[in-house]
Amino acid sequence: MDRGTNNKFGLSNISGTVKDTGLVSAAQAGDLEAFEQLVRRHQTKVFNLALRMTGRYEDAGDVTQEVFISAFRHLGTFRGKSKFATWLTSIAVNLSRNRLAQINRRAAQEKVSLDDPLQTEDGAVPREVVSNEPSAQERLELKNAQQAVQDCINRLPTKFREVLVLRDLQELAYDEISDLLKLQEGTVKSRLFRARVAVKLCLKRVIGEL
Amino acid sequence: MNHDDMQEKLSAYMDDAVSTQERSAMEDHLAGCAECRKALEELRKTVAQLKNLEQVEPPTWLTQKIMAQVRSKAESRKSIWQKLFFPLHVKLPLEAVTALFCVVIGYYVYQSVEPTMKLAEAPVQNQRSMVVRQESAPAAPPPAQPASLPAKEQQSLTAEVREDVKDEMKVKAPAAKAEGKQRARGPAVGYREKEPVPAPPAHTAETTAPRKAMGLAEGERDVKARSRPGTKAAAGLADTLAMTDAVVSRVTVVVTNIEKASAEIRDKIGHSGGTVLKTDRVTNGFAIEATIPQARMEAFIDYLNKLGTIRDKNLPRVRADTPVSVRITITFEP
Repeated sequence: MDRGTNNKFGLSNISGTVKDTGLVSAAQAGDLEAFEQLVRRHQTKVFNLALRMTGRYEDAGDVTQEVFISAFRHLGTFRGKSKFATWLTSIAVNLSRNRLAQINRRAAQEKVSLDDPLQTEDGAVPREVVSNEPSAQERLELKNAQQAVQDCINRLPTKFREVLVLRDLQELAYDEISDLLKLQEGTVKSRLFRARVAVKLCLKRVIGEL
Repeated sequence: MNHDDMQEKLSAYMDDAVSTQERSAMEDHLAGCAECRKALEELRKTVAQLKNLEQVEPPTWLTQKIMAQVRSKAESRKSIWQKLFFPLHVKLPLEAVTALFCVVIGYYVYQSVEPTMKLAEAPVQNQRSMVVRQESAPAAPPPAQPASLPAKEQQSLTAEVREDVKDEMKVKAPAAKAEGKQRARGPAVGYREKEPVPAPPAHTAETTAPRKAMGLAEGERDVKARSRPGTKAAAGLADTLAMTDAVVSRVTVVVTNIEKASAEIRDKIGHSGGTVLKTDRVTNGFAIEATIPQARMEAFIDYLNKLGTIRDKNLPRVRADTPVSVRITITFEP
């Protein structure tokens, strides 16, 4: 068994990787190299979360930058009660929400689209959303299933979207999502169910049979 | 479990997030409900589709861009902290050393300035003493106030007083306690000696008259007095004699027996309360330098007149309480 070797952060290097806690401590002490390692380690996960939340590659890049800049600025407040990855995820969700709100405001100013998701109360949204059937043009543009899935995610209101992304794409546990979004676990389950049903109906309409 | 409840919990059932009892009830329902089994299957396929979404690689430049901004933030934060608070471990000792340096410099400056500060008080005392003396001489014309002197004169006056005080200090430094009284009125004396030089005639009314009567030039007296600071102190006899040379009375007595006359005159001086300072042999006789109380001076002259013939008598008037310095030349006619 690889027992690891000591590194400059004073922690054992298990299987060739340094634990986040060591890098975080070093970064908190002003070691930018350690922070860069954290960036390299988590940027893909953060970027994909932002991408699935915003649905746009450029916005995902911007949000990812904002997430790490914010994390660096508030590094001193991180006490290690949760995992660094979870802390980063919560920042990413908040900043993705903000970016999504900007995108929606911009879209609302440019034109009122029939494809925009409706901001309704829990329970009413998924059925109404799926009732907005993609246009023929959109069908042609959806080259593959991947794009179809992303398009269906994009049609979800933010509060359903974030639960779906965190559970089915980021693979967080229910209790983690509950803590992160500060929701009751029952609410998480309910929102997740409705989001999944909405995506199912969307996919069935876009690509036919599942 | 009814059909609607079943639909609600399919998602959680799929994630194994239901209780054992719920799971058991749901499995019983699923066994007999094709619609629920289909719904569950579609949900599983939907989640599979979601999980099949490929992980997208972020732009290659993303890390560099993030770190560039992070470094920029770190630099600005560091510089602000360094300027304000952060380098206290460096700044505090530095400030302490600077404060100590200022204290040391301040002490030495004070030490070097202190004598000048004391000297600066001297002219004020001199001016006051001068005013008092002027008030005590009503016959003199209204004196010009030193304050009304031209600035240059005041400056030169002050400078001279300072020089005098410095000279005095140099002389008095090793002197005994007896000098204390003289030192106390030192600046006033210094000014008094300088007074005739810069001041108008009104100031010199009191001092110049007797000097002229003694046949001495003011300048000569001043020069000698200044060149012999020891006269203010308890100097030796030679110094006293040299000093009295300038104001000495002179009298020449022609006798027949210079040896006898010399001895008798020295005795007479002693009996008169005077002091024989020096006896020199001169051409055709002796020269005795002595001090005689003013009160006995007249009787002493009468004695000389009886002893022989007085010639070349020069006896300037001096104050009654001042001993008369006299040079008695004893000679004979061949």
